[in-house]
Amino acid sequence: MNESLLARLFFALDTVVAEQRKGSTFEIIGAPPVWFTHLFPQLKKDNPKFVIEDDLSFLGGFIIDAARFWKMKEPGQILWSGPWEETLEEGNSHELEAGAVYLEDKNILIVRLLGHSALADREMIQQAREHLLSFENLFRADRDLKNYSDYLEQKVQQRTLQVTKTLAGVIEAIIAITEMRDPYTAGHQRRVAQLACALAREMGRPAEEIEGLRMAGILHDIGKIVVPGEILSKPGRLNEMEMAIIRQHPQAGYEILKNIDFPRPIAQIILQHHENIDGSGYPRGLAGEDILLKARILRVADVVEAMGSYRPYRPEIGIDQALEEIRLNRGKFYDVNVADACLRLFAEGRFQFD
Amino acid sequence: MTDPIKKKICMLGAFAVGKTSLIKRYVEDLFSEKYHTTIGVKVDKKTVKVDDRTVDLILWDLAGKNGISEMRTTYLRGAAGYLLVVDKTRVNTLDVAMEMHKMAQDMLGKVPCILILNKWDLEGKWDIDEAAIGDLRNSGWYTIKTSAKTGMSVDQAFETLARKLIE
Repeated sequence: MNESLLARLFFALDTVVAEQRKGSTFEIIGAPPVWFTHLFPQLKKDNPKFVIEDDLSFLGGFIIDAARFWKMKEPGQILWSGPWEETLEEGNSHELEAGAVYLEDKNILIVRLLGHSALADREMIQQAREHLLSFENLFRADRDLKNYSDYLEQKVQQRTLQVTKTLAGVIEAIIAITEMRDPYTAGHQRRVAQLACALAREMGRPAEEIEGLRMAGILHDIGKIVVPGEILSKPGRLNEMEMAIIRQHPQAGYEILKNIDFPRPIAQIILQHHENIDGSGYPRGLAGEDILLKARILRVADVVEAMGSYRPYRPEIGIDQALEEIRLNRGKFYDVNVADACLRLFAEGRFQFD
Repeated sequence: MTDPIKKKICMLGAFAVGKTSLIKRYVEDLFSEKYHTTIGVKVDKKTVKVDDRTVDLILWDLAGKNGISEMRTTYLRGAAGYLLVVDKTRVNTLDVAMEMHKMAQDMLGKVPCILILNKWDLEGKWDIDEAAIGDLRNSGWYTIKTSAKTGMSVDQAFETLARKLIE
């Protein structure tokens, strides 16, 4: 193929092929296409030479890489610049690509107008990037949703803590009212709660059950609010009628608390805390496992604390006597396992009332 | 009259952060809502006056980093400084910008650069919080809030960098 034919072919392919003459001067093989004259306005038909003077332009930068490449003298290899966009006419930009090739001892520079193939590539990359952006938006929306969910969870935790504190405050107020009416039993409920929790721990009960017992313990005599003050503080023995009134307090406690939505069956435990294993207790005469385990634990704790403390109607009996009562009536009034746990705790000196 | 000083400035950042839009706003005072991806490199020029000196800024708009194609570090050669562009509505573009900053420093050494917080006009969609921007400033970053859409501080961004280049 002669040079003239090659030049026409390059022209038709929108490709400029130029040979390096000296330094940054190049001479085009054939006539320069119009678009190329926008890059190098000094080009003339009769003198198709151009100089790449500006090393800050894209071609200027590429020539530095091309010079290194030409020095390696590797025929058949082409170094491509990658595409670049250049404004060739007023407001119209075009994609171009430059290449360097070493051929027959000549340093050849190629500049081609990418045209339709570049448009297709651009379309593909544009679509890929738009998909990436959509994916990023989805990811961000998901992250925002998760952040909002974490925020809500945190709010719920804060509110739960607040409600728990309020509940604890209300319980304290109830205890204060109960103790104001029955000063002799002041602190009784707290100490019962303390022992009941120790018994439950000794029996290996789970933490949430122990917390339920603590709450039931500190509220277990709330029903005494219905018992007249003169009966509660009466010195000496109570008569039959007075005892009957006293025995109403588990039911009264249940009635007071039954509509409160505690996380555990507090009202039921309080209702059953005077029931005996043999069915001789009150108010319902429940027996054995019909009585909630927590109520059986509370029963033992209540008896030990009450017998170990002073009461207006009798002198202090003492812990030893209280434990003797538990030992004697183990399996009769008191649950065997609870009784054993209690005797073990005191015998090994692992429990003391605050 | 002295010849203008020529300075090459590169625009670096993740894809679709607004690099091309910033240049278009600066050079032609135009803005288009349509996203137009840059393939490879686009070179523009703008002559500015900094005090009594004329500076020809050669603006190299480099295709944004996106995991599809990697930027050729040779494109950075000869750059006197760069604008590192971040999209205020996409926090991940800050990470990309920091990666590109490291790459540019490896190639160019310590040349002037400014962190551009673009798309400042999209207030409801901001994804980079003030605390993160405060941390960047405290660690020595020079930042400028811009909007290619409204033109906010666009000239200031380029001209501040131009001033740094001739200092």
